[in-house]
Formats: sequence, structure tokens, C-alpha cells
Amino acid sequence: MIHFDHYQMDILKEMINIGVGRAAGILNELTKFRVLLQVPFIKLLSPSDLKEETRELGRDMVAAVQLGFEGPFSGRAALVFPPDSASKLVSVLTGEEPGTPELDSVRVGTLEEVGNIVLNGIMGSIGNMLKRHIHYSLPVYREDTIDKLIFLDRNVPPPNTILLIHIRFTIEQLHIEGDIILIFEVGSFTALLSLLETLQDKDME
Amino acid sequence: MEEIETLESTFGILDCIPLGVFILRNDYVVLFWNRYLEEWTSINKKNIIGKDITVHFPHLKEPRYSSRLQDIFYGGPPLIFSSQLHNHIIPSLLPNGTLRIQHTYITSLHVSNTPDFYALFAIRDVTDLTHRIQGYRAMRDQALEEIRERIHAEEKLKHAHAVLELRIQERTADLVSMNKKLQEEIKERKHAEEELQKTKTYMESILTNALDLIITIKKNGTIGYTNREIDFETGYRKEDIEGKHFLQFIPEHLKEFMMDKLSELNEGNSGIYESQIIKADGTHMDCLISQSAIQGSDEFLVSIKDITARKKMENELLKVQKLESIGILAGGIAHDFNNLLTAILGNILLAKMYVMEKEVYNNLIEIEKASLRAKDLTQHLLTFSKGGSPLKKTLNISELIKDSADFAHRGSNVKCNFFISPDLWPAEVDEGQIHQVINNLIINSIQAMPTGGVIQVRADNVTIGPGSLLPLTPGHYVKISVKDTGMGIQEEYIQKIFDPYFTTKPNGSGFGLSTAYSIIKNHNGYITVESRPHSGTTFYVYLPASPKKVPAKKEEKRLISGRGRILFMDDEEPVRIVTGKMLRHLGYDVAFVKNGEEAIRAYQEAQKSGNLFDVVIMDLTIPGGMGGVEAMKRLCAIDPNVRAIVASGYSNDPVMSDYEKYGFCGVVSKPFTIADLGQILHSVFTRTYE
Repeated sequence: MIHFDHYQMDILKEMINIGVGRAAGILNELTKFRVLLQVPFIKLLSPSDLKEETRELGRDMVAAVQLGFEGPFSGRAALVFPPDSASKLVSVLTGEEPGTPELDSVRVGTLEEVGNIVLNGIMGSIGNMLKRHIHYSLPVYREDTIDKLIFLDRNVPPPNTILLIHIRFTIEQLHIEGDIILIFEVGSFTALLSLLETLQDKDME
Repeated sequence: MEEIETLESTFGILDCIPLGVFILRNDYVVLFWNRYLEEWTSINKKNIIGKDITVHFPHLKEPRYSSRLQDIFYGGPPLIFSSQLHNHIIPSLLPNGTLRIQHTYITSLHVSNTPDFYALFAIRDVTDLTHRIQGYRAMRDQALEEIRERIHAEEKLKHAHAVLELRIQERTADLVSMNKKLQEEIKERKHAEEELQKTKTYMESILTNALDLIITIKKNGTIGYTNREIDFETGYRKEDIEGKHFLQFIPEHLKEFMMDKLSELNEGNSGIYESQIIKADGTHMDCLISQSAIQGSDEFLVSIKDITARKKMENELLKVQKLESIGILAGGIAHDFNNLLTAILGNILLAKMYVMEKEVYNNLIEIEKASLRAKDLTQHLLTFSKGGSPLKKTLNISELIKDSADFAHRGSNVKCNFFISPDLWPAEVDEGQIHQVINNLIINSIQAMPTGGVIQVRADNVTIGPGSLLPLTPGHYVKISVKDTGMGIQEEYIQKIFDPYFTTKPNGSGFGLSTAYSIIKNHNGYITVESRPHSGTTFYVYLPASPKKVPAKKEEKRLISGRGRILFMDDEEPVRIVTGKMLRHLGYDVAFVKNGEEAIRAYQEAQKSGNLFDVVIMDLTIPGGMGGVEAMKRLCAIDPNVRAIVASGYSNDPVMSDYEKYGFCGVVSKPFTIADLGQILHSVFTRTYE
């Protein structure tokens, strides 16, 4: 398993925070409430550690927006909405009454856009900072257990390192809080690491 | 233009997919506009391609779009504008006038051989989908609401149910308690009802078995209840009485009296009094009425006792008492009369023997006749004498009835029809008295039919049983009935006709029926009457039948002379004088005494001197001195062989009919004739010598 040093981790966090910040800005434009997004932690985990980490979600169905990317580093980012969070977030954004957990196709469309905004924010931030062009696939919406979303739905062996980003959203006016989990499955963290090292070198200069 | 034509030829295929597709350059100039968008927006390709899209759709310049589109023109990740958050990127109207709902994907499109990127907009029409989902949501929300309401209702129901359960439990507990109480009350009430029923049955039994007729009378006078289904005394059934006014059953002459009695009840006074009620057959029944208020009711209790028999007995008793007192008086008068008549008749007889002149003789005959009528009158008076007993003989009274009736109606305009049983039982009667009774009854009937008619005389054998209402000892009787078709007797007189001196006839003595009554009473019989005004009258006479045989007829009296010494005792000097003359005329030697003491002394002296009396004739009653019975008792003590004859004007005295019991050998009734004296002395002497 690859380990990021402290500096690399800081850069990564910085890039993610910038991306999350942009996403929050866009979401605030879409709704009349102020949506606050925070990143309590970022972890690099082995698949087994990730299983342990996401055990709380258990065998419940979760909604996820996945975005594939290719370029200097390739992989897949998945924004996972635990059922409670998905419902709260959609309700707030659309002004619907909260408490309707069902995700019909209209609400799925909304959730897709939220996922798109957050993922684009982060990916755009990374892309901008790394000054590298990345090709993206169309975002895909899926509902399944976390295990199947991350580990089974692939034709290739799972990566040995997974980046877990915990994002907390807060809508203070409504006293609503929720969690979003961003999982980065990067095929070769080595490439990302080298890119980060490039940035590190530039800072050093 | 070349750029646009190239794109047109490259993306012309996008005209064929059911999406709105357009391509935008980073300066917002439209490079491609497919056919669907033409159709949706009615903006022809020619009018928009190569032009700034914000001319038609200025909102795309807004930060919410432009900030995100910005990355696309640098090859950034695809964008999604969801239908829910944006509704539509390219506003376009549907045929129904509403805006088409759109879900838009925007991807970067690299421009060959350049670092530039176009933005490829792919717009999906999700109007129908959205509406369907909204409809579904509405349905779902409604369903959820209904479910919520139902759950709420169920919860309320559960709560209500729980409350109800609690109430039911409380109520059940109350009911159990109440039920227990009720059961106890029912038990108590049942017990009370049973007791009441027992009392009711008991009372009903008392009422039903009461000898009296018991009724209740309401304040308005109607009868509410009667204790009898059928009342045999009155002949009424329950339905004849109940609901009727009580005055209906009261004789006219008593209605006012009964109204007064009812008023007294209304004032709260109870009472017992005698009255009469009309029976079902129209006759009147004597009754004792007891009336009182019923406590706790506005009705009155009236008990009616049939006292017909008692009244009858009372009337009988009253009659007897009346007759007894009259009898005492009559007895005294008769005694005196008979003494006088003894002297008169004796002297007439003697005078007739010695008179030579025919005219004087005829005058004596007239005097004798008048004296004999006077004798008859004293005989009537004697009938009322106290304790008077008839001188009875066993007779077949058929002839006596016929002879008496024939004798009585002879010369009248009335005919007598006889229906006399051929095997009529003999009766022990005083022939003269019964003759007198029949005579009186026939005379009464003749007088009831002044214009003539038929009298029906019947005589039958009857047996009186123990249950009879007649005041007779059970046994065999000869029943004589005398029926006329005359004017009848008025009701108010019926009770009085047997009273002495009661008469409705101007010249009547009032003795006829009272004598008949007394005679029959002294024969231990009974006389009664049935009469209705204008329907005739029937007298019924009951005489006890005798088991004895009828003796042969005696010979007629004749003057029998004799010899012997006679002691004659009588307080009346005229009687002593005339009797002395008659005895001497018959050939007897006679001595006289005034009373019993003198008689005993004379008898004792005669014994001492050896000049004995053969027969002593003694008056039964000596006012203020010793009478015949006591004197006889003493004489028997002196000389058990003494022979004595009792003489009395009280022919009905028991001593006269039962003289042997008192030691006498014979009896002679005053006024006696010389023949009577000769016959009785002859019989005493003959008996002595036999």
C-alpha cells in the first residue's frame, strides 16, 4: 500500500477542500439555503480497511454517483449517499417535504446533479492544479450495497489503495446534517503521487 | 461558416435521436441546433446557428450556468443540469402551453487539432416522466397521508379502545357490582313477592271461603270486586255484580237509607246495620251489612251476610214472645170466664130440667147457646195460654180437613177442591183445635176472594231433612196447603198476619190466623204463608206425623148417674154451688172446699171419721191458695189409693193432657156439663172397680 507523506497529504487535502468549496458554492446558488460542506478527514486505506471503515453502512442500499476518469492517472470517483443523507439533501435542494426516502428517477436526476457538482468540483480542482487534461466518462447513478459498488462491480482486480474522503454537509437554517463519502479508486496512485511530487517541487522552487 | 458546415455534417445524425442537441462554442455562439430543438423552440437552425445563444436564452449567462460551463470549454468533466433543480435549459412550450421539463447532460467536445473544447448539450424531454412521477408522488403522498391518517386513526382508535377497555373494565366492575346488588334485590323482591303471593292466596282463600258475600264499592257507588264466582244466596254471578252500581241491588224503599250509609262511609265512618238486597230472582234478602274503608284505597269494603234464616227465627221468637204474653193474659181471662160459664151453663142445665113453661125453656135454650159461644171464645183465648198443650189424639186428619173446610165454606160463593193423599200419615192432634185452624184458613181465603173463586186444599206426606230452612225438627210431617186465587197479601203485612189483633178487615178480630199459628206451634208444627199481591195466597201447615195407630171412635156422651161421696174443691162459690147441684142430680153425695189446704184437712177428717171420700174433684189453679197439683201430691202422701179428678179452665195446661203423671185418675175441662161430670165419674169408678 502506498503512503503519502504529510506534505503530499496536505496538498491532496487542499485540492479536495478547494473542490468541495467550489461544489458548495454551486449548491448555494441552486438553493435558497446555505449549504456548508466540510471535510473532516481523508484516509488512504486498503480495501479491507475500507470494508471495516464503511461497515456502519452494512448491507443497506446506498445511492452513488460514479465518475470514471482517464489521463495521467486513471480511476473512478464515487460519491456515496447513505439513504438518510440522500433524502435530506434532495429535499433541501428541491424544497420538498423531507422524510420521503424514495428515490424516483426525478430525484435520482437531482442526486446525479449533486454528485456531479461535488465530483466535478474535486476533479476539476485536481485537474486545474495538476495542469493535466483528464478524460471523463459520463456520470453514472447506481443503487447497491457499498461492497458491490466498490469491490465487485469491476472486471479488474480491486486497487490496493483507496482514498476515502468524508464530507459532512450542514444546512444550519434547517438544523440538518449529513455525511457523504467520496471514494477514490485510483488505478495507479503512483502517477498521482508523482504529480503531487511535481507540485511539491514547484513549491520548493 | 466552414466550421458550422463541418459540424453540421458531423453531427447531422443527431437530428435522428429523440433528444434536443446543440453545440456551443466558448463564446456562446451556437454551432449546431438539431431538428428536435427546432421543433421544441420553433427556432430554425438558420436563425440560431452562428449566433449568440444568449440572444434567445439570456439566462445561460447567469453564474449558475456560466460558472459550471466554464470548465467544459477547458475539457472539464461532464455537467448535469437536473430537471428538478433547473426545469429547463432551453425553455420551450408544449402544445398544451406548459414548458417542457428537461434533463440536460453537457460534455466537452474536443475541437480537432486545437486546444479548444465545445460544449455538447444533450437535452432529454422528461415532462411526461416528471408528470408521471409527480402523479405517482401525489398518489404516494396521498397514500402515505392516508396511511399516516390511518395510523393516526388507528392510534386514536387504539387509544380510544384502551380508554374504552378501561371504561368497560370499570363499567363491567360496576355492572358486576350492580348485578350483584340487583340479584340481591331480585332475590329480596322475589321473596317479598312470594310472601305477597302467599298472603294474597291466603287472603283469597279467606275471602273465597268466607260465608259472607264480600264486595268493594268505589266512591261513585260502583262495585269493584266480589269474592264469589257465583253467590248461591243471592243467585248472582261475578259478572252480574262487578261494575254495577250498588243501588241496583237495593229495594226501592231502602235506597235513601243506603245512600245515607254510603255518605257515612265517605265521611270515614264504618258501621254494621241490617238492610235488604234484591236477589237475582227478584225477591228480597235480609242481610247484615258491615262496611268499612279500605286503608290505602279509595274503595270501601262491604260484607253482606244473609240473615234471612235468622230474621225468620227472630220473627218467630218475637211472635212466640208476643203470644206468650198474650197467652198469660188470655189464660187468666179464660180461667175466670170458664168458672163463670161453669156456673152459668150448670145453672141453665139445671133450670132446663126443672122449668115447666115452654117460653122460659126456650129462653134458657137461647141463654145456653150464647153461653156456648162464649165458651168457644174462651177456647180461643185459652189457645194463647202459657204452656198450653192441646188434648191430642191420634187421628187420620183427611176427614177432619174435609169436614172443617166444608163447614167453613158452606153458603159462600167459593168452591173447595181437595187433593188429599189417600195414604196420608196419621197425626196426633187436638181435633177441635185443628178444626179451628182449617176453619180460620178457609174463612181467610173466602174473605180474600170477595167475588168468589176456587180454594185448593192439599194434604201430602213430607219428610223434612236436617238442612231444611223450615224451623222444624227433621222427621215426617203431614203438609196441608190452602191456596186461593185472591188479592194476595201486601209485602209489608206478611210479617204481621200471624200477630194477634192484626187485621186488615173492618170487622176482623185479628184472632183467626194468630190462633191458627198458636195451635200449630203447640202441635210442634209450623205454619207459613206465600203470597204476592194480586197473585193469590197459599198457607202451608206442617203437622208432625204420628207412628201410632188411629184408635176406634168413641161413643157419644150420655148422662150417667152414680153413687158415692165426692169432695169438690174450687175457689169460686158459683162453681161450687152449681157443681154441687149437678153432682147431687147425678146421685152423688158432695162436700165442698175452697182450696188445697181445706181439701187435705177435709180428706184427713173424713179418714178419721171413717166417712171416706170416694173421689176428689179439684180445681187446678187456686189464686192465692194451694192448687190441685200440690194438693194431689199431699193427698197421695196421706192416701196412696186416693182417686182424684183434675178440673180446669186451662184446658191447654200440660197437667190436663198428662194428668196421670200427677196422680190424677181423670180430667174434666171447665166449663163442664152434667154429662161430662157423669161420664168422668163413671169412668173413674169403673176403673176403680176393674
